[in-house]
Amino acid sequence: MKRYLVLLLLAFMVILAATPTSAARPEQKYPVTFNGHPIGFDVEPQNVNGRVFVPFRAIFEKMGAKVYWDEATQTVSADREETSINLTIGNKTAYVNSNPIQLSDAPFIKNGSTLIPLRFVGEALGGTVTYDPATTAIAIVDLKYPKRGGTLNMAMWNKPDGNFHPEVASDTYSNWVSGMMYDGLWRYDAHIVPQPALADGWDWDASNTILTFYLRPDAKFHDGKPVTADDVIISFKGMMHPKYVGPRNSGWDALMGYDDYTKGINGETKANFEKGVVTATPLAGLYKLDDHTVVFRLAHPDAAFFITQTVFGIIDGSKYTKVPVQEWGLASDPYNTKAPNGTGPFKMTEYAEGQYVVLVANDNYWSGRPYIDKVVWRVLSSDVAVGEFKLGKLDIAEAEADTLDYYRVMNNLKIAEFPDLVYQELMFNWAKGPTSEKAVRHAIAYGIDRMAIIHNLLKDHGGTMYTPLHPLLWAATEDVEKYGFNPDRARQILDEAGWKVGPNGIRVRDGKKLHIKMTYPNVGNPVRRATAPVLQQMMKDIGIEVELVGYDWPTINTKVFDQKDFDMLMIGWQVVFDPDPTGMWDKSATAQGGFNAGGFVTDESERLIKEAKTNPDIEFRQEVYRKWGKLWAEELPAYIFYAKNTTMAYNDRVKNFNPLPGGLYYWNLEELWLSK
Amino acid sequence: MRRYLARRLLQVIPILFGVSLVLFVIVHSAPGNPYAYLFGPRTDPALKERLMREKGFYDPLPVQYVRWIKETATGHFGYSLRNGAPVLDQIMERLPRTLLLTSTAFLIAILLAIPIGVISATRQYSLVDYLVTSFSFMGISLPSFFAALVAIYLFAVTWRIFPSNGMIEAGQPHTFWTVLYHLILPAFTLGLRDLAAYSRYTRSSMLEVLRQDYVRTARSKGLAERTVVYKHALRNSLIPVITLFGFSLPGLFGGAIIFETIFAWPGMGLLSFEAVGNRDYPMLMAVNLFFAFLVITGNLVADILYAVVDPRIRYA
Repeated sequence: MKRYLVLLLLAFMVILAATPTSAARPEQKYPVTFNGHPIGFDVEPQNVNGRVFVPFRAIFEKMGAKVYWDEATQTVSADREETSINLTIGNKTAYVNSNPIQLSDAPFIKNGSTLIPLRFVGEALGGTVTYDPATTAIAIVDLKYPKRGGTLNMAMWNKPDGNFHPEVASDTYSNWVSGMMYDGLWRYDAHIVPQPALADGWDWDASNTILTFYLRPDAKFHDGKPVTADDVIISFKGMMHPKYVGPRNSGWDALMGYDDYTKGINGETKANFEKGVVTATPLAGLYKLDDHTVVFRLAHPDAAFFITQTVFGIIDGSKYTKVPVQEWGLASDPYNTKAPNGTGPFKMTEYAEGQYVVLVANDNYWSGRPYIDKVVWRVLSSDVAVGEFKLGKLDIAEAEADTLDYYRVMNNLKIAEFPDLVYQELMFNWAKGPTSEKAVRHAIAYGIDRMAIIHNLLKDHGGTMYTPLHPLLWAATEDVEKYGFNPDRARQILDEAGWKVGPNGIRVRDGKKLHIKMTYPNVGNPVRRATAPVLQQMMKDIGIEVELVGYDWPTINTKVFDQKDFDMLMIGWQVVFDPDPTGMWDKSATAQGGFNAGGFVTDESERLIKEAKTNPDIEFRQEVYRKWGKLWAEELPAYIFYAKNTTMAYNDRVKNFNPLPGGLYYWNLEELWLSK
Repeated sequence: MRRYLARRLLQVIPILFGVSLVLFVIVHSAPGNPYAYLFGPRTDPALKERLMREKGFYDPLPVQYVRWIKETATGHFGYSLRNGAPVLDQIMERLPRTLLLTSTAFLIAILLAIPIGVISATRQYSLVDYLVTSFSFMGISLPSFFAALVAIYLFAVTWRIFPSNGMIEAGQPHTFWTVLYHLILPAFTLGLRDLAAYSRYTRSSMLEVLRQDYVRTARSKGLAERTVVYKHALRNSLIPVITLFGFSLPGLFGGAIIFETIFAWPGMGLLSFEAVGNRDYPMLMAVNLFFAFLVITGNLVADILYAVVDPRIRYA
């Protein structure tokens, strides 16, 4: 269904919120866990006169309660199932189901967060609270809540390729399965902010070229072997190796020693290099300080590097001393499906090619054992999805927006809908043909009734978007020409450009008809297919004759991306969490097979794209991207129809399910639990 | 007969060779390339070019064909471009599943169609006959994917008698009975079309035979109606029906592509469907050759059956 996404976008290289990616090794004074799962705070726990205070909201939400704040009475409250809790700022009496409980100290507010005495947490909702004075770690353990165990049933609408090796996984489902089995150095939290994973901290030096990761000492592979700096080096060197085949071989140029490594000059012995064997031998820009400290060193600052290049999963390097990189993840890689050794919350126990994957919980997961025991992920035809949900054999699945009505009538199902980093556009051939004329592009844009398409075809499961700087990203800008629907303006622009209405309503100039070939994928995405004839009609209204050319994906690949043989192309993209347009809208992407098939290149655009990468400062980059977005919208190498929402259906027995955009649907898998 | 068979079997080799040549040209001249999926949005085009050159994507077609012949001759039909496993291994893993599905469907169709056809012919214009003819008319005109979805809705979702998809249950022991249990629904719906078609053939052929003089003779001899119908008439009426068996072979496999997708039955159909979408050349070649082989065998089987059931036909 989303085949092309699968093809093009892949991996969840990623980032979103306006977060500085540089953070000193976090000095978490009081790390708090609930049933082993770390709790993140805006305001850290405090020690006041020898007593520890913890933030009320973060902890009670983690424990499954709904938290409320009443400004008028200065009261915080939390509800979970039959229990309700009330505390008032400055008042030593708390209430649990209206039974008063005396606190040792009164709650107080710091930086907008309510802090309460640690002891009360256990008294309120049950469970035990232990404070380890030696490590200052606080562990809250509740054996009764939430419910443990059970099997989560999921569906894959396409057969995964079956390469689950985190460095080479290419299709969406293989990536998700891989993500359950392998952790990266860091991962995203609920606010899509990078948080420690296998590395419990990292920092950039002042020059923004030296990035140091500090590995978590307690992180272990599924077989019990600790994760070391060598594993990290082997994982990353693999993607840089010239024999590597997969979607993560680009973006390494800034790394020192990368060029030499690809030429076999250093980093491997000659024999190993030719065989494709990857070892932990350091590069000038990738080396370890000790077994738990790894350094990435760049030749020049690259603001996108952290997000796009360091997110990938870490493999057990000791397993790959004999498997050459060109075989990673293939049938001949014994650690792909037969004996994988990851670090993630789940371990693969069975893989039946083309049928299903069975994963079981990793009892020793560093971030807390998953509440669920088992995940069964079956390959299914999406035609039977409704029936499978009805039978209770399916718990979570992506649901196309046009099928939601079937799910809505089932009262044990819930729908999750959220804006995603996916958008649909009409790409123009910027370099040749009728659309190389700016006036024609502008006229087409004014002639499209975007809102009608969103409302009638997409059924409002999406929103507007005007430049490739996605509204979910910090770089988004609205300060651009939006090309609202205005057919009169479109006609006027064409008239002024000399395209006069001919005998049959089609515009003509110098004896040539305004005839445009629109290529579109005639497979997958039903909304996009339905848009093609609608667009044809809209263009006819302003005097442009559009010829529809429907192809399958491999043909589009060749005709459009290799041969540039098109006038306009309807296509969808998934953007990554960093707004850097390199590879999408810059000159390098105009080469054969590149994604800038229309050939959009201007000196100013090239300059801005490069400039935005020189400094990781968010405000600096925002300013540069604002200029670039304006320029892009004026040149209009593509018209963006809409940003699409993702819709998923799930059984209401699944709790804590909180899918995030950018493919982060299962980011908190270890904290999902089943109520039935 | 034996010489005839040997000759026909020997003919298969040059035919397949010719087919492979034509297939190779067609498969490789379809736009698209199998490596596109391998690369990310930021992949350096030069790097991509180099990798594709190394993989021989730009070699002239004859060179690629010779390489393919070599790989095929070594016995494993090359390696899948998608997952690197030998093509033959993947086909051998999936072929038995498809054979199981199609042969069950075929058996169901034949074993039900012949009695149904006979009954409706011997009771022409009765209620049973009308039911049978209208049922078979429906069976032929119903799009097969629709029939499959209706079957799933009724038998798997509403009445919950059979599982709606898959071949085995994840995490449970894979026994013969689980497979059989999963087989019933897809096999029945896949066989439906042939069932309808063959019951009609049997009916019309039977009707024709029943009007023959020798049938009248048999009846006038005072033979029991059973003997007349099942011994004298049925045998002769089956001659045109049996010859059709061979031809339905490729059709059944073709139908399997749709059914395997809907029922998530991991067989050849799904494999070939994916191979097309991925432009996985070695896999496409092997799968298509297999289908060509199927058509050739189907024809051969039809010819042989013809000789077996009709004593007037003799091959030399």
